[in-house]
Amino acid sequence: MNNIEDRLKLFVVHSGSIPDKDAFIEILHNKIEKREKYRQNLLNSLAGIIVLVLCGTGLFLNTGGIESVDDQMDFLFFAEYDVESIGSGWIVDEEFIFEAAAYLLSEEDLISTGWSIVEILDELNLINDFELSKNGG
Amino acid sequence: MITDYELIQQFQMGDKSAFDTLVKRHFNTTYGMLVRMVQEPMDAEDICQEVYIKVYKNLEKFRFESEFSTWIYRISINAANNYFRKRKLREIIGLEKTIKQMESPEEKPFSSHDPVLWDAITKLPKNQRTTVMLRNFQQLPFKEISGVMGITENSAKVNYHYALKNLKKHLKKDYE
Repeated sequence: MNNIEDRLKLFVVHSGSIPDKDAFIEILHNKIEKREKYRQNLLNSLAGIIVLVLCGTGLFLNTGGIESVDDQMDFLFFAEYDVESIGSGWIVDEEFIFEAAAYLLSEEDLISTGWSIVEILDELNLINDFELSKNGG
Repeated sequence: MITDYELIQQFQMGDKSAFDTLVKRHFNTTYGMLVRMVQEPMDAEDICQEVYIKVYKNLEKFRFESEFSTWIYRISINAANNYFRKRKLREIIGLEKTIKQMESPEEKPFSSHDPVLWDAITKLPKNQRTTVMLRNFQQLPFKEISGVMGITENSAKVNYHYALKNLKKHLKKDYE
């Protein structure tokens, strides 16, 4: 045992310089400040999250959950802007057809635009509607 | 000269500069002990920072039941043990070798006088290692060691005895 104890007593470290105390204290204070700020930010964030979760839960419980969009008026509002609805007679009236025809006829190539008028009107199924509306529909 | 207790009281009454005086007073001992314990000056300085951050945070709650130096020893020992635990973990996952390979000799101004003995000390169980370090590196009497470690004086002696026995076993080759 004594040998070991002697060896332990001899056990030294080839020491370099001891760090400067003032520099050490400066770094120490910076670290303390940094950690304090970090802790504060963490607490604030946690508090924010808790408030958000509480508000969200409260709102969800009060409104009875997510409501489905089945209101007829909302549906009509969106359908009004639906391009597909042009062909199904939603916003078809005489004025629209005349305006469309006038626009297409004003094109330079009269022959090709003439056919395109027919094609478009046929595509939109407007000819029948127009006929119907002229016949008192 | 103003005592440690008086400085702590000043700190507790709001004079934060008292903390700086305490650090200046105990820095050499703390750093010296840590550098002997971990054998890496950079790591020792980092651990020393951690020790004093802990001291700063808990100084308000200091109850004057033990000496301030004993309290610092206790915090340092815990910090050093955490360091050894992390080091062991790094060794297990193979990071330690990589770090050692990355270190150039210029970056390591300290070197152990007896690396074989040092290796054997780090392999000792926590309480035995602490007893050996406090007894030999800090020259603390068993009574103070028991105070730092929160064990009885006899227990400290037993730990020291087994530590020596284990060291001898580890260093068997050297004594054959």
